[in-house]
Amino acid sequence: MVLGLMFSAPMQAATARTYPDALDKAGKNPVVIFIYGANYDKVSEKAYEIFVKKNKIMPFVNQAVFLEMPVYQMPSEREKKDMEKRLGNKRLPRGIWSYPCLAVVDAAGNLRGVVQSPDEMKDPESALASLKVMLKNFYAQEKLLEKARKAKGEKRAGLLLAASDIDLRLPSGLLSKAEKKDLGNGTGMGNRIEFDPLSVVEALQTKSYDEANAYIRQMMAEGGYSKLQRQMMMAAYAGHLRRGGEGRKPASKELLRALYTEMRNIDPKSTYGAYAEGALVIWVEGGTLTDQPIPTEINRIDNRTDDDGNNSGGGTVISSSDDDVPTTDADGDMEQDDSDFE
Amino acid sequence: MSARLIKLLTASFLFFCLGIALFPVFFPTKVEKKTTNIHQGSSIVRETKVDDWSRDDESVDDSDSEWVEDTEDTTVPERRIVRQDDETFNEDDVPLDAKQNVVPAARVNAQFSSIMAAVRRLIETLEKQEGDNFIGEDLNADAWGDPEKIYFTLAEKIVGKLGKMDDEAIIKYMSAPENRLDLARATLIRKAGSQGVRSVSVRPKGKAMLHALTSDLNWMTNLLYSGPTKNLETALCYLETIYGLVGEEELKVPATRRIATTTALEFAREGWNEKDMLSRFKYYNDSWKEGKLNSHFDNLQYWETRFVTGCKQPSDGAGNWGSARNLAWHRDNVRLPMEQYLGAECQLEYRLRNVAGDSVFSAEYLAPIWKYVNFTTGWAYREIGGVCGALSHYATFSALAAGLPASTMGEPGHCAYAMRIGNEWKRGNSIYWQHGLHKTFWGEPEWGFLYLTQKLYEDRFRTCAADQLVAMADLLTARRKMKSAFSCYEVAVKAQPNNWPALKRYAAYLKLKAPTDLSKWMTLHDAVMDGMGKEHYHAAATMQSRYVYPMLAPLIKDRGKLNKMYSGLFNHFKDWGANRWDIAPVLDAQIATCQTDDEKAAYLREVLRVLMRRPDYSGAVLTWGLGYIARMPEGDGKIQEDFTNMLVQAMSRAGTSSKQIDETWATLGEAIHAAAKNKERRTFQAIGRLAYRKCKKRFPKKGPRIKGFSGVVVSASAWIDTATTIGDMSQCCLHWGVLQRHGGAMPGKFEGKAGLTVGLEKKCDLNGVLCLSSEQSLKKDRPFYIEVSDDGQNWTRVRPNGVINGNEIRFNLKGSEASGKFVRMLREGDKYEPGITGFYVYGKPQRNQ
Repeated sequence: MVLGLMFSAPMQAATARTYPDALDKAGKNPVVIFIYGANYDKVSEKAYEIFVKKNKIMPFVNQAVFLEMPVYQMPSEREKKDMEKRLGNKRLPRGIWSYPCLAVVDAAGNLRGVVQSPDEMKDPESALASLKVMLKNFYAQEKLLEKARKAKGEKRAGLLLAASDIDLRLPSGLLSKAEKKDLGNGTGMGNRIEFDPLSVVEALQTKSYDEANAYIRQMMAEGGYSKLQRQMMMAAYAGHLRRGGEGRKPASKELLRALYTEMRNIDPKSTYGAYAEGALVIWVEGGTLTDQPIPTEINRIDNRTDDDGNNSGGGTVISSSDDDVPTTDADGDMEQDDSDFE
Repeated sequence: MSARLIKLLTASFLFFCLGIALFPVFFPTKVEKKTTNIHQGSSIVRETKVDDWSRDDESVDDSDSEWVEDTEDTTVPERRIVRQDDETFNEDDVPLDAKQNVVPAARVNAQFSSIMAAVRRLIETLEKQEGDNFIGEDLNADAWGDPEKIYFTLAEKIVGKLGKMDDEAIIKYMSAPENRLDLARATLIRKAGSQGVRSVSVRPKGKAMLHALTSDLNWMTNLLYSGPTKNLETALCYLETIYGLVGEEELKVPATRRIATTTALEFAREGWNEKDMLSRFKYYNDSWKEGKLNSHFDNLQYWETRFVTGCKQPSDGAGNWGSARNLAWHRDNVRLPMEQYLGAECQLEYRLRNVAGDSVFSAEYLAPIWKYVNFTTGWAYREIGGVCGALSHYATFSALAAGLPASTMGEPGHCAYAMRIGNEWKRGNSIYWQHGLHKTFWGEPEWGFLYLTQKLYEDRFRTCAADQLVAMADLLTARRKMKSAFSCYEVAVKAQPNNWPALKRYAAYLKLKAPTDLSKWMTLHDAVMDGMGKEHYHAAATMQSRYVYPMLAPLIKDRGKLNKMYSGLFNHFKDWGANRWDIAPVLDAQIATCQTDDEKAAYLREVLRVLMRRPDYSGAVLTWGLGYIARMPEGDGKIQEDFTNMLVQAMSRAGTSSKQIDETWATLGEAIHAAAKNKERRTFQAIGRLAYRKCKKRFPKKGPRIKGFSGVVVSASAWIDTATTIGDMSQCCLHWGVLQRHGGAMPGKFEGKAGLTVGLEKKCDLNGVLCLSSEQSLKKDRPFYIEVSDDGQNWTRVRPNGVINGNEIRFNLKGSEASGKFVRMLREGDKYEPGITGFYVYGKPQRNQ
């Protein structure tokens, strides 16, 4: 509620003229940088007029420090000097794909989020809506990280896990090498930071369906994985069954339907939720993807999701007796609830 | 009553019709017949009505003429055409002027000085006059219904105005804008062909578009002289479509006109359809109007805009990078300053397999995601990741979508890209010197030609003057004015020596009209060296080897002189120029002019003498020599032996100072790499030993302690090759070391049937194989295995698999009865690239071998 009030009315935000100055002023608050193409891009120029000149963003960033940062193309000497003055001995963070944008940076210069898609940046209202969510997430994440800094052991791991569940990048260098090693020792956070989707693919390659199922289910049961990571595991698992292999026939469509439905339901709105939806159309229904909406009957199995977007039913289990004709078991254990970390 | 009236009227009508039909039978119309003699090879056959507005040619012979009624039909009789004149030298049906029917004597540089001063003035005039665009309203739109009439009238007019038709008269003529417009109109008809122009004129807005276009000198200049005009008639049809869509007023907006013209030219040239062309035009025109393109686009000339509007894969659909849908996504989602597009591939994850395990090369890789990403290729790869192809296309099309020139390019086993930053082309995601651009003007994909294209068109008004001189020369050729045509071509290539198409055209004309004129060919050779050869080494060497040597060499009787000329080509170049290039085709072309083995040996001796002193070229010439030997028919083997000896001697002569050692090391590295690729065991070994002798310090001092197998190390005298594409070949001599006791180093790559291959001296019975890696702990998740072969083609797997222990892989083949002349080590599963430091095959050569 306090946060709601904070964002409802304009407040005087701190402004900075240079990037080092902004980082100095930030403290525990973020720096919001409006980065725009200053000498080559009419879209940026227009955005600058509306967002900055008409003061449509700065009053709403509240405690955050606001900074405008031009980016030049083939800069002249004067423009080079201007850039040097604004950046000082710092460099803009990596990971920005497009200008104009609103970058959210912490006091250490870590890029934590960017409002940069054309839909978001089309007008100040849309940009502000995304920015507000990002700033809210920033404070929530910082709060957890602050607690984590003071905590130890499993509690610390749990707090870090909760922080990484927030839809915002974590600051780099959060964990030392030694800490990573400690956390890698079976904690949920260890699982999350060590996760490599391609190593799952690699590991599955030589496994029978039974072994693959056991492998994936065990990973899921260990917990700590983000929704995206769980969807990636399912993608690897379903892909392994779909392709078949040496001594293994491709899995039945019913099994694939169950797996892809399970994968989608973990987070239907994500890229891999959409991947699963597409997989259901082309590999289960034998259809093709078009501009038309996907028919609802494809969603007929296990379409229920709980509030968290997780599948409320059971997981898909492979019959141990028959690799070639696997069956589904809707009552099997599917995944560990990650509410412990929230 | 009424029925009777109807009958009466019907009868009257029928009678009237009959009368009309029979009238010519009883009262024939007198018509004047007129046609012209047809010369052999003539391209134009003209048929003129009596009331033709054009001036009749007084010299035509009317004796054997016939009248053909002009039709309203769009199909034009075969005889009434101006054929397209892109590659050939068609001549009009005009009488031959004896004074003009001579090949003028070759000119020395001094003889060009006064005309070059005039050309400089012309260039200044072109620059001055561009601001005050000339509009010529002397032809109305309807006139374009008869392009032949326009052409012949213009041709007569132009030749008439040229007077003496000498260099001065031609340059003077071209200084007037109305004259250049006439020349451009005639050139348009010649290039598109009269049938092509006619087919445009019958389209709904055809005549109006042609009128607007051909009245405007700047537009015509940009259309005709901003690069190739292949399929110009189609380009004109496309322009008519755009004209119909946006109207004449919008086409007066310079950016819209530039987008329209370049899109039409490029889509016609590439043979892409009209629907996609229109979609591309709309994308760039709308983006420009909405201010969504990079401001750099506003200042592009026509030729450079063609790189943008002519980008590939224009159709809508998943996987196409150049679709309007995909371009719009890049435009809106990857908005960066120009310099940052170079490296934009970092926005994508490098992935050979997606998280579902599907290969990037399979259809399944992106299949489920297409709907989510709205069938947008760039977006799909940004979500899923990809390999070099996707990464390079992503960066390239991000720049292209913003209106910046860029092109993807192939490298051996890799995809990279070229992007222009300011006026300089830069390489992106590049790992090798060999580039094959996917967008070229002249079908020459190497980097040197891209550089040449940039330099040529950057020098805009000079190039434009030269192009117009070529157009004039073409017209004079068509009008059978050989002497003036020669002169005009020569002035054109002298005025702009980097004009690749002009040089090609002149060489082709020379080949047609004076194939045995030694002084002419020699002058052309020298002109290429003095002009293009100053900076554009690759292009100059290509011009000589492809177009000049085949004609010039047979005319030079003194082989020594010829060989000096050949080696002089490389002596002339300071280094590689804009980029390293493949000298093999040039050397191939040179040696191809040698008739006997003795001539070949003399040639090789001469080029080795010169090129082995040139650090840049020495490795390349050795590589070529080794390849040449490998390709030679077997014969008695003497010439091969002579060549090998010469190459090895040439290598041995390399110096031993520290700087020379570096050069020698790099040269031998390149040569040994070539020897391995050619499976030349003896040469591989000879170079390896030589490298060890000259650069011993670069090899490991002593090898590790190893426990071998019984038998001898039969691989010590073999060649070894890796599946990896080697970018920097300077360290390849260490490959030889891998087979020796002291060890060496080479990159390994194991993926499918790609691995490490060894070619033994003889077929051997094998006892074991030992491989040592620089990786101290080799991956154990997949087995390494051995295959053997007698011919290097058909392979047999040998058991057992390798036993991995730290950095060692051991294959104990005792009892396996494995034998072969070729041995290769492979690995199951995904790509794995450990470094290799030792590879030893133990066994015993078979006796009957």
